[in-house]
Amino acid sequence: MSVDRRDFLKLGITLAAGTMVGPAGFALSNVSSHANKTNSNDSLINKWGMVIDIDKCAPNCNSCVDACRKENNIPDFSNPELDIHWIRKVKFKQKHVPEPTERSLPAMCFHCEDPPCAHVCPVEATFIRKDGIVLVDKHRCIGCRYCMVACPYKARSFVSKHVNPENANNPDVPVRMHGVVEKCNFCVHRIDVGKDPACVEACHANGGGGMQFGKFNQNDNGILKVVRGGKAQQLRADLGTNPKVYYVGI
Amino acid sequence: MAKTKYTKIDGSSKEYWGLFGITGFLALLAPLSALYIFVNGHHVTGMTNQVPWGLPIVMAVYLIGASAGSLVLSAMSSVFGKKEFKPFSRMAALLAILLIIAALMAIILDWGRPDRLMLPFFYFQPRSMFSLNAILYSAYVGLCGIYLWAMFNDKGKLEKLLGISAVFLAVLVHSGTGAIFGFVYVRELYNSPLLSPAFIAAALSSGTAMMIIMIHGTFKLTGRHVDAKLIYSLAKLMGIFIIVVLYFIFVENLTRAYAPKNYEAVSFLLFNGGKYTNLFWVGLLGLGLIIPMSIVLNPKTGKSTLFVLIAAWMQLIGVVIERYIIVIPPQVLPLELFPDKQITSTFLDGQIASYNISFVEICYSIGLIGVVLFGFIVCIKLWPMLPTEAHYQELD
Amino acid sequence: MSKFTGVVAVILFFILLSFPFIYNSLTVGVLNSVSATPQPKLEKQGKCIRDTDWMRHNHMNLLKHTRENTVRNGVRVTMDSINNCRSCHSNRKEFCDSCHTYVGIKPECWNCHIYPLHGNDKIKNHG
Repeated sequence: MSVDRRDFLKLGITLAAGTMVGPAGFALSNVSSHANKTNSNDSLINKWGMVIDIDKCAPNCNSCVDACRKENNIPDFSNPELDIHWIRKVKFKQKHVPEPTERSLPAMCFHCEDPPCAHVCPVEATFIRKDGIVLVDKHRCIGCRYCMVACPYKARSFVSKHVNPENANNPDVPVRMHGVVEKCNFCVHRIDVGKDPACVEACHANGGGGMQFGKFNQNDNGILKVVRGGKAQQLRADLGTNPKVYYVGI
Repeated sequence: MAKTKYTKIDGSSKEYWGLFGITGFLALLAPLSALYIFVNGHHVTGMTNQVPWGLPIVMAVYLIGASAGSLVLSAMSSVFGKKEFKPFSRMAALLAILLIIAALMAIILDWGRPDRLMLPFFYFQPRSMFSLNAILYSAYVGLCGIYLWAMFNDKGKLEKLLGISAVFLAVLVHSGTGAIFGFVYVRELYNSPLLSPAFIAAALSSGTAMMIIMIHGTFKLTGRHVDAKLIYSLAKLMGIFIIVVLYFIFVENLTRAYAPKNYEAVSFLLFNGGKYTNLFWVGLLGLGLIIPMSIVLNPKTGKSTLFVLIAAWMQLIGVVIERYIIVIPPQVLPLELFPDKQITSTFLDGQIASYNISFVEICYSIGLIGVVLFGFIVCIKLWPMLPTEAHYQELD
Repeated sequence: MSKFTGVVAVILFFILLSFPFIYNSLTVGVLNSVSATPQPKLEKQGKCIRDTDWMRHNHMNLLKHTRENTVRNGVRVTMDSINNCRSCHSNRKEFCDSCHTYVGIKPECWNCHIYPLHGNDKIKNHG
């Protein structure tokens, strides 16, 4: 057979057209929805957020993690590869200049303003509540795990074993069944009744008290003031996801 | 030009029922292993919280690719004027349908909650490639079916129109599949605009390889005559597609390797990634692409059925390896929470994760191929899919 | 041959069609339970959050509506919450399950939401 030039071109053009139309159309929908947002710097006002002072975070303190596991009935699978983490302590050291001591910070879901996890969810099981909390609707999650691949912060875990609700510690929080993805929800059941998340409460009670939770309210002395001070920073701000958890002192 | 006659196969021989039994058993493996995973939990697979997508997704992507590739081949005669491939257009379209069905099975049965099958159709998230693909895949299955119907009823013009739209949709479907990974901007090895076109190139080459093997196998087993020249020209086509695949791999990795922020990721894939590096150089580049390409483009070995078959098999497996290299290593590499810091945690942050394929995933993958083969041998008995003979006809 | 195949196909089709009935009669045991209409037991007497008759027919819709509102809209009505049910209907086995078993349905609520099978002892201990 001879693939002559005309046929080859015809094939090439059809392929190229299909390749471009597809992704281009979908990508455009992202950009256009961004353009529709009011172009202002107050998109976080009245959204829940957190500021964490790392200088108060001791590397050997684990109180926020323990409190979270207890409050949210997080099962223990005793396998580091399968274990579920809503919040974890990340220890870090400078890579390019010598740093004698290791420092640490608690990392959880950062409840991004532009969450990649919610964007990729095919059934809108992951969604953003009006007050800015990114939630997983476990009644709807199909367990495709696309969100885990898309999350830049490794905030999500898949429930890979069956969990028995009879063994749960906190009767007010349901356990999650095998086959769904779960993550930190800022203890939504607590903040809806006016309490702080369990990790923040534990940090003030047993830890260094570096975690501060609240809304980005304009007339407030809370977290917005710290963020305005300029010392607070987000993790991987370069990705443009705009996390609502800020760190001071990295 | 003589009109091609299509007949059903007799399908009453011992060999047929033997094959029927074997492929039927293999086809049962897929739902059975999925049931096993569903009943026990996903911890029985090699997939973990570090590597959430494993072999089932690799197989799904591979099967979608082969489906798109064989559909393009099916439309070769009506859309691209390659009349000599006309005898194969029915069986290629049939394979396209069977492969996409197996691919959908692979994806859906891999979900944590396959019982929520209908939810992607109730809810729609236009930003999610999965959500868009759910629509594209179903449309694709439907259109392939109508196209096949048109071919059975000799609807000249309509057939051509359907062929063009089916090829267009096949390209769209596979671009969408590539975009599932290409749009993931947080992982350096995924995020690439080249992933969609590269997926299509690999789809075409693996689709052609699969057609070579299927044509040779079915014609031999049913005692029908196929002109060896047809096989050789398919092989040559495969060689051209492989060159395109190689080109995409070259450009993609070179572009990535240029940026310092990607040094770690690229050197992991190309130099110090252990089994992934070996798979890349030996499995994919050597055995999967370059050797089969040299075989089919060499005038001597390209005119030997044995060599062409070997090349087709190597390429077929090479593209599975290609999909594996696209899907797995980006998840194995740790996410950079702080690009300038070394990190550790109880959640294995900052560490290279491990993914070990489990036995049940292998059964699952073999089962998916069994589904395709079982469907194929059942359908060629029920409908006249195969031509009585396939001659090489010189172009006018 | 073809007539035989047709008859077999029709029979197979009807077997598949009636599969739910066959399955339920085998698993639930229609013959055993047909005579014994379930009598859900309730220890604590008093008024429910809605009319009893309305609840009998619509409790599942109420739960689902509350679920959408709570999870997706963040509207929490303590009275309607699924956790509030157990404050009166404390014995799941003798209340919820008695009817659900009879009609052969298995709601998935208690796979995750915590509602002990026999009374609220565990919850009371938690304080």
